[in-house]
Amino acid sequence: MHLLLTSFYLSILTFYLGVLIYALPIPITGLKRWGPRLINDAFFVAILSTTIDSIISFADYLRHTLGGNWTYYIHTVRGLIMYRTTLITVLSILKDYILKVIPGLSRLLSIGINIITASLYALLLMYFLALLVYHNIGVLSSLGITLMAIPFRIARSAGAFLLSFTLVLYLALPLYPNFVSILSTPVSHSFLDVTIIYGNVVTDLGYRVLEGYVGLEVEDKYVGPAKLAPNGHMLLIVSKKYLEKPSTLYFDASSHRFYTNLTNVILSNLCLDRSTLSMCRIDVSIRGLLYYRKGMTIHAAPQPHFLEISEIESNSISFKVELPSHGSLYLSIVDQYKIDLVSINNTISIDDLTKYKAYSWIWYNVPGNTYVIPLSPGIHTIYLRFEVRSLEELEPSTEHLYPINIYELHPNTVGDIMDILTYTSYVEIISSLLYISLLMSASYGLSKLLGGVTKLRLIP
Amino acid sequence: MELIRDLIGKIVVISWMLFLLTWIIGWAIKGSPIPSGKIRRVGQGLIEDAIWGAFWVAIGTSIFWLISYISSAIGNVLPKAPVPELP
Repeated sequence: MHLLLTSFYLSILTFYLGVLIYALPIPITGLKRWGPRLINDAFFVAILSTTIDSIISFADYLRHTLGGNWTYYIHTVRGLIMYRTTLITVLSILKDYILKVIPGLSRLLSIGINIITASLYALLLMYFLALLVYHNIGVLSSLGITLMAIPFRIARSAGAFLLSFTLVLYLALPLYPNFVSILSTPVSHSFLDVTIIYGNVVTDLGYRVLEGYVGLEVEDKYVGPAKLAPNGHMLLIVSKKYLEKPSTLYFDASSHRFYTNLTNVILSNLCLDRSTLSMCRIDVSIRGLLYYRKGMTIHAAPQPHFLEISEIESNSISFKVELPSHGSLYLSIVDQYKIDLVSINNTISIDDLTKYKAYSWIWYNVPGNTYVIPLSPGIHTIYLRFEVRSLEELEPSTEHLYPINIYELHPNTVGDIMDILTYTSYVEIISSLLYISLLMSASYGLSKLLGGVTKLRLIP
Repeated sequence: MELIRDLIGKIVVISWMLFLLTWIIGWAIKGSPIPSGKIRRVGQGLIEDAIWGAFWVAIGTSIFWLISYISSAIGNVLPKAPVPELP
């Protein structure tokens, strides 16, 4: 704060020096040119020194948006340093033992130790830079501004470099883990050819579907099941060429695949929002589904005319449904559910469903049964009470699901053993030096902008 | 800090005086009975510079007050950083 005040006063001094030169009765052009120049500098530095707080909080904002976090970064780097140190110690001890038995192998080990040591030094560099910048951002940046504020541009470029160095490192150093992850999981060209299909999911009787799974079938290939995002948004990342082929979207629930309004269609003709090529919005309506909750699917055949879900509790549901002709109510539940009571129109109560059991299934890895209850035409009020034995194994486990995150697609393409070796051993050495040099060039560019002579003129 | 403040005060006084001096010299050169356009133009330049200097020295404090006022005003309205979220 003291430094900032000093720089503010220095900028006022610079301003009045400029004025003084304006007023000098010596008509030499070289001297007179310093007048407007000094006044310009003074305004610039005054603005900089009063807004540096806002600039730093803007850098905070930007870093946060880009996904950087100082605490996380410092912890990560510290952990990596500890790990490297331990590894080097262990390997050195191992090397000394092996040296007595197989000298050739110990040579190989010492190469490995050298690589790890280099990576340790790079990490230490990152760590100390981080500590320096993170704890001294205020002091360093105001020192930079004060240096810039010295009249007659004596230390202007030094100050500008100090300021921009601090700002760039403060903003971008915590983004280093993201940078490493980009380097170590190479995004091949096929990743750029993906399209995100997204949209809302409703039943054709007009109810929003809040959870469940969808899958897309394209030419014998089934992409799915993809879990719906919270609030029932469908989010499916598929290859762009799938949009041009006839495909069918299913609602994948309790081992049944429900048809939707997208059956054997070319999706690219139907995208609602054509603003970008790699996004395709399609709203989906599911045929015949009445209700879905974790592992429990209720549907009816033939297609009901009317449905009113009156009450949903954690262990019961009641609804009204109208069938046009003789039909059935299908109840598909995973084994973790136990049905206590099914009551139809308050007249028929079924407490043992076993005689209605139609078939058993295994939904990816979750076993379950489907019960079929015959219904006469007309409106029926159906009440269902059940128990959930355990909240686990209600739905397929993660390894059966289609990934929602783009980085999880095709992880097996990295495959090559040499690639894996390279990534694990060299990425950290190269990436830290590469990253620091990138930041250095960025701060050099910024310092050119801040301390440049021709740029940022306020008065002619 | 005190040194800088002291310097600022002195420089303001000196520049007012210099303004007067330059203005007088400028008019003296411009009005002198020397029939040479070049010298008269020098006098004209001196007068213009002096008037610019006087303008800046008069307006200076207000400009710096304005700068600090505006930046302290915008310093408080920056939004809080949002938590990134999936679409």
